Amino acid sequence: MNCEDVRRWKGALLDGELDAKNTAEIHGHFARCPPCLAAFRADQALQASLRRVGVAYEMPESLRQRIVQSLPGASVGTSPRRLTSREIAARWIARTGWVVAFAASAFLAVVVTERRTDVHDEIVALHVRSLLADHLCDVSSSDRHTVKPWFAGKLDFAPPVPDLSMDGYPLVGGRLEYLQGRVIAAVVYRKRSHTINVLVSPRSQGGAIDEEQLVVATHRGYSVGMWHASGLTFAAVADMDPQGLAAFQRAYESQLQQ
Amino acid sequence: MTLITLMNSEDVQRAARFQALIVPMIDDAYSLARYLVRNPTAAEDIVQEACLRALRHIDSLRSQDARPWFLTIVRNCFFAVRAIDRAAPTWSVNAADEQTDACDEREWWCDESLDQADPEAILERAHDREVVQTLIAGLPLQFREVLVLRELNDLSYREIAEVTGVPAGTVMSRLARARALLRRAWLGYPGNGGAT
Repeated sequence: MNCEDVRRWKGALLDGELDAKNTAEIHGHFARCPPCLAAFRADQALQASLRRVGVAYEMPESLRQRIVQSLPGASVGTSPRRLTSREIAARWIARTGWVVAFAASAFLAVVVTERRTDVHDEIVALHVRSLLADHLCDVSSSDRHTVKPWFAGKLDFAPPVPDLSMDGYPLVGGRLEYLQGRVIAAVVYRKRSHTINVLVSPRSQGGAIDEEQLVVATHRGYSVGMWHASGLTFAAVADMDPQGLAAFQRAYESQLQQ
Repeated sequence: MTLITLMNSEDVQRAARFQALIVPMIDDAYSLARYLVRNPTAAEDIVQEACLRALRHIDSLRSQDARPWFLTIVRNCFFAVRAIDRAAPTWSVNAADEQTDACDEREWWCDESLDQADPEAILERAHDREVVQTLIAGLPLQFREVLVLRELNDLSYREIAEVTGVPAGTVMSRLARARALLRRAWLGYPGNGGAT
């Protein structure tokens, strides 16, 4: 692959549209060609910046009401409409600017905390760094039988590496990470062009959450979901909305139980 | 006088399908409409019209295609609304939509010196959301729409090709150009840290 090919295909790489063979060829070219790599990093930086700031327009509530009310069978009168989780989230974020938490149940019951912790900031910063540096993975493989054993001997615990490809989250690889003063495992998945870092560490006392439920914090387009299971603490972080992250966590936990 | 509407079970089923498949998408559809027409009132008209059409034709929808299907309707409604407005202008549609590759020399997106690939420079210009919306809205239509369909509506290249009716290769090259133009705008936008 030459520079002109790379200029043509780097967008497809950025968007997760490139097949494995061409992906490998582009990365091979990047290794030999700093200007092309820099151009790709610039593309990544722009995309990351768009996701961080969020480009969506807020839809007026009156419009939603008009649409729903115009449906056949819509109730006439002033029966209170059940708020969607997105609306609940929007109101809390508007009021506190901080954290909204969801329980991973079918009804998306909302548990709200106003505390945005340093841990969330650190996790988001770690996530953004991993995307920009040349260091998303120490072991790059979509095969969990390659990634899981790689951690042996490097950590004093064994992080699970479930296969989520059937749910639409192919494995990208793994690396060691540093969080809250500990060396931990980062297991990386992908959904389309979104990268999901799953940070795994042994459960410690006095952690940010006590119960075995999913708590999702969202700020400026990034969502961080934290939960406990099997004596480990998990934090999944991605530039997705809370519902998207909750869906990922459901797929993750259900694979672990197999 | 009271209007009484008689409802049959097909209407109820259609409404239920609409509620399940389309209603969750109307926020993102509104954003697309806003970026296409660049006017909040017109965007509301477009989304309402799109919902009417979607409800009418919902029996033909397979649930796995809901997103590109509905966004195609939204896009078609944009063109319909734009055509009506041209005949009898209510709100102005920016003539820049007619540009293809022609670049107004005064627009900062023609400054090729801003093509220097510098990820740090991009990250440092931390624009507000309103600014970013303005930068994207300032792109010519054919670049703007693929960028929004990709970055906001999260469609794949194949789905964008379906919605816009152009081949996937054209989608890819328009997206590349959209990103190059946006990068120039991002770096060249005055204010917020000063020019580099």
